[in-house]
Amino acid sequence: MIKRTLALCALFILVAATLTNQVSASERFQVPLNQALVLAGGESTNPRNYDPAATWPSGNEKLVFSGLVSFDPNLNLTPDLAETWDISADGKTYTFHLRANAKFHNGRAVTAQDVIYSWERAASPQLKSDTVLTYLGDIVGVKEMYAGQADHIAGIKALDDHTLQVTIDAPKPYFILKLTFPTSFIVDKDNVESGAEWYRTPNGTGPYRLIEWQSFKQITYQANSDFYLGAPSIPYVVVNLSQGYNLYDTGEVDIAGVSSVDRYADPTEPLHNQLHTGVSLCTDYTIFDTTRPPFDDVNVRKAFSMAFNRQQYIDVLYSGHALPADGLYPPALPGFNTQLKGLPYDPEQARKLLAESKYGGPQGLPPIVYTNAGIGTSVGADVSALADMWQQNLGVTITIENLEPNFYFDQIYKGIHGQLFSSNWCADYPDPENFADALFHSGAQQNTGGYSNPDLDKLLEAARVERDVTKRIGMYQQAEQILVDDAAALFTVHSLMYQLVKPYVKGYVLTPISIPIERYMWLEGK
Amino acid sequence: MRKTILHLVLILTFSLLPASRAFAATQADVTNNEVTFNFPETATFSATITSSAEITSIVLEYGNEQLTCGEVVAKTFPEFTPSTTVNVSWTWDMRQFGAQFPGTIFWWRWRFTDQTGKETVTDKKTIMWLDNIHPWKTVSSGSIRLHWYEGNNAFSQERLTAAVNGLKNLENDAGLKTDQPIDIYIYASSTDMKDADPFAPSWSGGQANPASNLIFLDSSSTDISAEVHELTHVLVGHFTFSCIGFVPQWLNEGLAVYSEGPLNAQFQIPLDVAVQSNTLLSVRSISGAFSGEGNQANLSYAESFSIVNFLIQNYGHDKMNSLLIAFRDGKSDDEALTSVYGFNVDGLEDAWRQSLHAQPRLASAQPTALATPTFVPTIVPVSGAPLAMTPYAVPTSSLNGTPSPSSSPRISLTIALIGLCCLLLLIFGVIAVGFFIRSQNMKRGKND
Repeated sequence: MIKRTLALCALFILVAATLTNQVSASERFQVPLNQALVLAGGESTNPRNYDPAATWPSGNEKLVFSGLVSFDPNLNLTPDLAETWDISADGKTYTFHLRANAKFHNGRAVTAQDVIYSWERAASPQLKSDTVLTYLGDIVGVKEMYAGQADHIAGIKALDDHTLQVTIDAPKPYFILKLTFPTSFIVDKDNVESGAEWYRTPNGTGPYRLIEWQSFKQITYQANSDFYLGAPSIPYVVVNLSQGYNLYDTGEVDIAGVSSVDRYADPTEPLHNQLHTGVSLCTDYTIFDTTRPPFDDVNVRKAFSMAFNRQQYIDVLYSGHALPADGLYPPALPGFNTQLKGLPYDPEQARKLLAESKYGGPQGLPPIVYTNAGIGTSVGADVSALADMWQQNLGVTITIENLEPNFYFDQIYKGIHGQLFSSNWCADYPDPENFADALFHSGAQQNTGGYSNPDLDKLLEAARVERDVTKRIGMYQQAEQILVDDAAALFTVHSLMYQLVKPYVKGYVLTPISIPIERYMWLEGK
Repeated sequence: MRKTILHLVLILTFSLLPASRAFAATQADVTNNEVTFNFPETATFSATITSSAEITSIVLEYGNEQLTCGEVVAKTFPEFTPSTTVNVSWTWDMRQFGAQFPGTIFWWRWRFTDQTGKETVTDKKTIMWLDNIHPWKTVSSGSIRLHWYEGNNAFSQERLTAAVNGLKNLENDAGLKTDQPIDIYIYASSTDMKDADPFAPSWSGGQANPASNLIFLDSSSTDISAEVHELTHVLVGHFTFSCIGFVPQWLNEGLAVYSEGPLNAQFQIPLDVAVQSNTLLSVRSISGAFSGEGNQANLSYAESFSIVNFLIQNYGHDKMNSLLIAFRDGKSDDEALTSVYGFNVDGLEDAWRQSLHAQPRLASAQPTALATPTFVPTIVPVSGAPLAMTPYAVPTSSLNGTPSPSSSPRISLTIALIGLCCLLLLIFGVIAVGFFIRSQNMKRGKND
């Protein structure tokens, strides 16, 4: 009897052990997909794309890393690593109280010194971050450190392990919103200094930890059970790095962007009910390098703008699924102005302006190069359409230069580009300062076209500290009209947001600003 | 923030090759100037550059031969340490940016500058992107160059004849013609073809790229009509080439299937079923990329044929060519159809459905089913006062009442089973001990 019982128990244990081994193998090589949110993604060969202090975000960095504050799904500012904060009466000093339970993925507690290390690393001239002046430049001493004039940021101080004092140069109401951007996210010194490829095994503080990266196949993240805001519900997030045809249709990813909107908009399409739509806070535009001929002449800039048939561009390239960008601000952004007077499509007037320019017409123009992100000889439909419109309406032929997409922005910020180049901007926080000031103030890091207008600068500087909200919004609307009248850039479209989401993915919110949405979601019946 | 670009989305087509000029006038030398393939994943461009003065800048200028709108040059800036001798390389990774067609011609040249400011440009070189594991053979006739590696001469001749005849028919029936050579690569199996383009949909039997006059096919899953199908894509692409125009997918695929001849059962059956069950896809919905799901894709092809057949049978080939020209000229779908036939996309669908005796179009099958974009600011602006924190009930608010998946149910099962075993062991242990004590007592009793 005892023998038989032992044998039975041994069998149970054997079965159990086998099952356990299966789970281990499954977790090591391929996570249980019914517990995983699978996203579509791509892989970059540029390490800067994975460093929060230097990256132009793709969204995944908000899985692994986190900052002092973030946005919730309603786009309200919400505490993150900082549990609370105090603001001095003059609006210039912020005191952040860090959460006592905040830890890196390796279990080490997060301290104020980690914040200082992360921000000083971002501001160091060696890192050459293209974003630090935009998002941390209001802090006293960041500009000096970035310029190599200081070893530390003068305006940040650890009062104790969990208290950080930050001094900014003026009472700017939007300052704290900038801390939702990854530039200020916290990194672990030991991790960062462990080698050039530290980003492949990041030790972050975010809701998910990266557990496996198979190049061009998948990146696997596991829920951080010690996350200071509570463990996320979805055990795994897998980013599918492989290319494929309509992976969403074949069930290989759970959430995906949409290229053929009309198909999914059709009620007879089986996936119709999985289409989520919304208005983005993005503006696409072509930058004129105003420091170089021929776009140093406002008449040339206006001529190129007025030779652009925006409506045809939207109807043909987007099948109507985009909004015309008469100006800089996208709809839904505070400051969006329905009364804005954009430059109309008027080929005749465009030719006249070109003739009136100091170049005297198309014959007098220097060779014009349009720089675009692209590989090989393939050219984006957007750039082809622009080139064609300028050819047809102005008689101007341009040369197109494709730069490798992984390193496109690296070259743009180094000034290695033609007189025209493609860009787009999506709101980081809902304030027009994030557009007009960040992109067109003469001292702005993002002002890659070198546009300079002292009147605009003065207006933007006054708006930074204006406390009357109505007046402040009015000032930004005035700034936008100046930019349009001066043809500081060619604004093309405001894209719309389309996402496909599988029905078993719950809690998904299509937000016009990137937020760490995965930790608010769960799977039901996958 | 700027959107990170990880892969291209709006790919266009067609261009002219940039003229290459070499004007090296320095003590520079370039050796090992080559491209190595790891087909179909990567092409690595490499060279050893030597100069009497330190090299300070290196740019690889490259491209693939295809038609485009105007002059296009791709540039990349490989990393190197300034020196008088530099080994430099850069890899074009198809896994990131999408596959190139077998038979594509790559060109490249190096542009570098030395410490004295002297710039040198190497001669332009070219190489063909092709999987060399197959013993490719070529036969040609007229504009067709057919490449194959498995099968006898009769096989290649049959395929070549089919292609040549297909070209003739397209010219006679639709007025579509070309004076450019077209290369057709015939793979012997779907596995071989998938190896050449791992990103193609699983149901694909072949592909065409009008911009580079290239076609590849899987001969095991397609017959000779597939060549005609792909050739039609090439000729329609040439006919409608423009910098701003797009031909909707239903028209492009419809013409290709139409040129094959009568609809085969693979497509006819799903079309009939969709008509009977009122599950036809709308014309608008098949204007872009077809579904990745096989059945939906089949229906999309079938409907495309049916729509094109309806237009040609009722309005003729001349009007069809006018429609293609309207698209070439940059008209939208509605504008193009209205300018030629007097009805827009919805009007086309109504008439086409009527011709099939299908149910009328759903009134809601319109773009208006999408959210109407708002022009009204919907987000509260930042006031003059510094922002205070907004407490948010972090994950629990979105997780209320939802089952939280167990992180490892099988581990729980294991623990339960082990627990059960222990319990059984305990019970039987107690019983055994009881028996033992009882037997000892009995022995003692006997002894007593």
